[in-house]
Amino acid sequence: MLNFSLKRGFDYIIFISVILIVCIGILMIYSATQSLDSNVLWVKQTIWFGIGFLGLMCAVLFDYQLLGKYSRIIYILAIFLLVFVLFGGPLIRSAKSWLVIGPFSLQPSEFAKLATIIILAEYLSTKREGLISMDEFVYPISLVAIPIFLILMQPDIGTTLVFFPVLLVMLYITGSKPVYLATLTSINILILIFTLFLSWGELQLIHKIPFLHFLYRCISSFKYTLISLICLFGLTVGAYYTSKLFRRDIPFNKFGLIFGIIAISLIVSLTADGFLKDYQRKRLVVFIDPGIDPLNAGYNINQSKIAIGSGKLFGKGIFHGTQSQLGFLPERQSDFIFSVIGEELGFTGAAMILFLFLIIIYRGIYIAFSSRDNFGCLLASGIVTMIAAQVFMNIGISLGIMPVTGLTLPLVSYGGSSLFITMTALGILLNIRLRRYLI
Amino acid sequence: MHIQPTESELEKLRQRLVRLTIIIIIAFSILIIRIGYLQIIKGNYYRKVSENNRIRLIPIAASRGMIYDRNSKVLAQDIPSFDIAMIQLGLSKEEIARTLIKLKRIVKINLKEVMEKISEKKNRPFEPVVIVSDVDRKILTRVAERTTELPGIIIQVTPKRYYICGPLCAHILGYIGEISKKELISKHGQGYKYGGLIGKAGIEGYYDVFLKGNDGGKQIEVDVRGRQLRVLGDMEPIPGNNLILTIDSKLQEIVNDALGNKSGAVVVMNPNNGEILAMVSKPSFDPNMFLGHMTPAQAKEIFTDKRYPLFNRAIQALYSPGSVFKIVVTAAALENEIINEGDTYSCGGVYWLGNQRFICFQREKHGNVNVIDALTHSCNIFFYQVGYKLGVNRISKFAREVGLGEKTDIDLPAEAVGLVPSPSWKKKRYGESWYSGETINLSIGQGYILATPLQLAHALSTIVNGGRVFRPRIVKQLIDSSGNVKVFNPWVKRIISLSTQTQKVLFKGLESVVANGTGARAFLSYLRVGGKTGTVQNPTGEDHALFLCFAPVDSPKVVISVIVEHGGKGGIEAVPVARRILEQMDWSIVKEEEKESSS
Repeated sequence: MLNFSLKRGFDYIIFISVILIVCIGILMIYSATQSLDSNVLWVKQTIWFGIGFLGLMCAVLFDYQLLGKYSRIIYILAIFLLVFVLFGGPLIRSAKSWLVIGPFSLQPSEFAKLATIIILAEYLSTKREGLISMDEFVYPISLVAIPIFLILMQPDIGTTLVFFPVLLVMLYITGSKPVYLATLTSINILILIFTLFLSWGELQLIHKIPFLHFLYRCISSFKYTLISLICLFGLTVGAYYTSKLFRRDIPFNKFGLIFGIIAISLIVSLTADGFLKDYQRKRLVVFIDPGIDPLNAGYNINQSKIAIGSGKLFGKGIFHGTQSQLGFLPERQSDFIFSVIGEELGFTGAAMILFLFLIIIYRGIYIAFSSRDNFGCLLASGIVTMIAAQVFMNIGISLGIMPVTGLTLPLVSYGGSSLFITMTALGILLNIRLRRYLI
Repeated sequence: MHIQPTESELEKLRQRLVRLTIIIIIAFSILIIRIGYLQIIKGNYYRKVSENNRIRLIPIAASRGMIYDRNSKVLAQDIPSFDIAMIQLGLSKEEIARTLIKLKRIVKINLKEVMEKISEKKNRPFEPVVIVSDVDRKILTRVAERTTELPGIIIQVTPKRYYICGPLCAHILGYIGEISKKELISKHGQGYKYGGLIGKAGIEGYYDVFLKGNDGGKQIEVDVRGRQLRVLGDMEPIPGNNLILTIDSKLQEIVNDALGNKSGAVVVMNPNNGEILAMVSKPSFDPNMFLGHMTPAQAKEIFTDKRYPLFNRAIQALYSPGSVFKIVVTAAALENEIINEGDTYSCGGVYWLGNQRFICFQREKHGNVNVIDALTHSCNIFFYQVGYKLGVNRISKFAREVGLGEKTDIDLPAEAVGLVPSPSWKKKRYGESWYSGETINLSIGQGYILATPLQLAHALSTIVNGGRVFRPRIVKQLIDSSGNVKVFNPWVKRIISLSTQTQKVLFKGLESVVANGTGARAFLSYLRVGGKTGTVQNPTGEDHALFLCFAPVDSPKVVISVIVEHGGKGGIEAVPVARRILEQMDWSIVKEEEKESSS
């Protein structure tokens, strides 16, 4: 099946970067866990690397067009698994995120990310030059909303956050109108702000400031929110007529859009807030108010910053990071693996990892551009955005510039499902590159 | 089935992808800038923080010096005491609560109080918080067996001061306690630390610098739970110096028993070198109470007790010496040749000075008395006349010379100064001139004059040893941790002139007090004792009884000053105390000393 031209199309740069990143990851997992009693995580990760490699190769072998063909089946399977894990999954660390099969525990949410990207790419690829009608717009949003809702129920905030940039970028690449994108973006941002605000209020931390307290009361339950929204709608209508009074010809749609954005974000935030556990709220709120819980929620972030900062230019040397080796760093083999890299390999190591990711991303975007069809282009940009967003958010959390939401660093963090899905996704990327001339 | 893009569409796609690339590069630049900021700009800071995270300085307290009596019997020492403590690092509030509930099944604790104590130290989570101090071994083993079930719980050993004879030597030894902020400031630079211990009274206070030693420390690397991984540096503590006191604990016990349950004080000293052989103040307290389990109620009781048990009456309480002061007046009169042994004055029971009326002791009429009779029967009229003739200035000058009205400089803290009045003092203090009636009062030890029991013993010592004013001492030797001995030699502050004739007459009179007079209850057939009784007028209750004596008369080896509060007139209750001491004491402690000082 693979002829000479195919071999020439194989993107060795991405391939080597991936191998390098995973190897560094395994080394860092080995280093981070060597003080633990059971030092087998790096072995498990190596096995998963092998499985991931198979996944990558499989993804390269068949024509990626098949994915488009079966995208609905893949998507439905993913949704089924997400529903299944909610009912049939065990409770691990107070979340229902895992499916345990023998020695392996799988995270359906990882699979759901890729499945959503595939079906989005399939749907959007049929649209030439952007989305025109409203239902063309609502459909992809629903495709994303379903897994987000199911993953939030686990609850797992981190993974859901990846869907937003993926959807935005894929719509953008399709050529949606800027207004739609702006609307979506503002809704995303408002949802984040409202969720943070609700958590903050929930933890009884804002009641010293009367104005904030009042605002919180206004949106603290669906009943109050409804009343608030009616008032807000009244205000909107009022603003519309006021603008007419001043003989400004602004269509009502624009006011309605703003109202709509606020209303939708509020309702989504309230729904999301219902799923959150107190510890998750704390981790979110600690980002705006680091003093609330310096020993628990604030502790992780502090220790991570100390670890990274103390690495200085060249790091403390592998196996010599005191923060990680002595256990000050929490979740150091998974969510905070970057802190271990920062501490033990220093600025050079951290920059190198970032650079390797940038290579993959840059090559990925190039693949998107050079793909032979819209489907390939959208699929590639979706995969690239997924990886880029996850890298940005995970490292951002470690650096204390993002709230702690719980997210793995692709290819590096310990975690079989994440590694396997990321490698398979990269296999698809390579596949798109490989078959760019085949029509 | 899939739509192929046109050229213009391809160009637009290119543009969008370029923008996407730019956004991603910007996002990654933010990361790189942040990493650079943390690692390069703030790298040194975070490196230090990470070091502080893992390195702890565990102070190792130096053991405090031991205190022995003159026969090397231990009076105070450090004994190990075991505390149950918690290191809360890495534990959530719920985990701490769970651990404490489990601990509660083994040892009694107040959950709420302990939780509060732990959360107070929340910002220093690696420092152990003591939950129960001084746990007995039974509970200790039960806790030690279960440490795996009790995360965060550790057992730490701390030296605890223990005073073997409890209340017996309480005032001499004093006690130690946590250093106060004020002490910390005033003793800055002497190696005291916040939360450390410091001697608060007695020997512990006065010799704290010698006793405390220098704390050592251990630099250790710990993991997130505060568990020690390895030792990085070690500085051995230097133990404090041991002290050997001049106190004889057996004598101390005799004195203590002799005084019984009465309030008062006794000082027994060697007049030939200033050594304090025994010093008892009653009521006493148990100094062990100050370290360990003193409940607030106990603390309140001891600090507000109306009988002031913490007060060392021997050196801090001021009494007007009453008739005991006649010894000083007699010596002054003899020295100034106001009287001779044979001079007599008549006593009709009443003495008139102008229109002021002064009466004799117990309104007796002694007839014509010489100095010996006057002392024997404590005839006030005799001393009124002698005192009047002598004049206030000569009395107070002599009293000062023998050591009254100034600190004796004994090596104990918070000694009272006492007071010897004089016209110039009165002018300064009250702005009034001196009345001759006050001279009359002074000549029998009343009025303004005030002295501590130690000062009285000290004054008599000076008189009986022929005029050498010693500095009273309670510490004989200091032995440092490497065994070097520093001996505190007798220290003569000054020598006053005192003729042998004066001594001879005085001794005769004082011996007669015990043989025939007011001090007869101290008479011993085998021992020549000289002494003088006194009454301390007490405006608030029954008079205090005073007795000042020395023995043997031919070569004085011991001076005893006894005060029994509310002990009645004329030393009724004070005299038998001294007698019991003289009867029971081991004389070898003063004989042996003589040999030593002569050699």
